[in-house]
Amino acid sequence: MWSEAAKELAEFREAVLTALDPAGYPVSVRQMAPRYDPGTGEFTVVWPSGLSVAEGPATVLCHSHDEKLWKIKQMQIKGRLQRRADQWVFISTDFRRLPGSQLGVFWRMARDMRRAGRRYLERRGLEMPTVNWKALQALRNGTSAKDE
Amino acid sequence: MIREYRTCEFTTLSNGSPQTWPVSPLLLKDGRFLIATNIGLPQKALNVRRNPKVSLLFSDPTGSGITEPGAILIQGDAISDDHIVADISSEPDLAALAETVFARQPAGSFMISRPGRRLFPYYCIRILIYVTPRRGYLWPARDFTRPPEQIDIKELQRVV
Repeated sequence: MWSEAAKELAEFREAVLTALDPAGYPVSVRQMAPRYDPGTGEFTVVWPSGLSVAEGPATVLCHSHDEKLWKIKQMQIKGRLQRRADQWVFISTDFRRLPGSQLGVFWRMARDMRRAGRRYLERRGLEMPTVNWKALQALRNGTSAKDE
Repeated sequence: MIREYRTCEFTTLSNGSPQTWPVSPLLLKDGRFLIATNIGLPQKALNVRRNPKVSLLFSDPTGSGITEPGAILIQGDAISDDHIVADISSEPDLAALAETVFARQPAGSFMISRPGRRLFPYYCIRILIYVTPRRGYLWPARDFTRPPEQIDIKELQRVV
C-alpha cells in the first residue's frame, strides 16, 4: 500500500518530520534519507535530545526548489509518531499521489484555487475586489531595475 | 539564515494534526513574522484562526548563498483576521515581502501576467498571517541528530 509513498519519498534526500510537543505546539526536524519501509509505511525517526516531542499526529513533508525558487517539487505523508521501545517511529496513515506530470499539477492547482477563492468570497458575502495590478507591476519593475 | 533562506516549513494545526507547507516569510522589525497566503489557498489562515500554535523551520539553504548552513526552529502564536488585501500599496509589509519574492523567484512574475491573472484570479487577493515567536532553537551545523541550542527570541528584533 505504501510503495507509491516510498517511491516518491526516495526522490528526495531529506524529509521534514513534524509532530507536536507536550504543550501542543508543532515541532519540526529534518530526517536525512529516512529508511521508509514500503510494506509497513513506517520509518525510525532520529529525534534530537533536548527537543520535546509527544506521541500523536505527525506529518512528513519533502520539498525542493532550484536556486531561483522554481522547479518546485513536493510530497506529503500524513501519519503518527509513536514511541516504540526506545525509539520514535513514524507510521503512515494517508498518502495522496499528485498527478504524474507537472502540467497536471499546474492545472489541478489552478482549478482548485479558483474554486476555493470563489468559496472564500461567497461565504463572507464579499464581491470580487479590484486588484491593484499597477502597484504589483511597479514592485516587479522596481525589482527588475535593481537587478540591472 | 532567517533572512536569506528562500523558504521555511510552516506548520499549522488542523483538528489537532500538523499541516506543513513551504512558505516565504518576512521577518518584521518588531520580531514577528509575516506570512501571506491567498484566498485560493486559505487553509493556513483558517487553521490559525482555530488554533494559533504554529512553527517555522528554516532548514533549506538552497539559493541562499550561505556556505555553512544551519537550521532554526521557531515556535509561536499566529493571528490572521478576516481582512483581505487586494491593494498591495495599502500594506507596506506585504509590499516588502512581495518585492523580496519577486527578486528571488523571477518566474513567479507569471502570476501577474495576463495568462496568470486568468488562470489564478485569486492569487493576488491576500490574507495576512502574523506569527509572534515564543521559543527558538538553533542547529548551528544543520545536524539534527545533535541537541539544539536555545535562542533568545528577543534577538529576532535586531535582525532587520
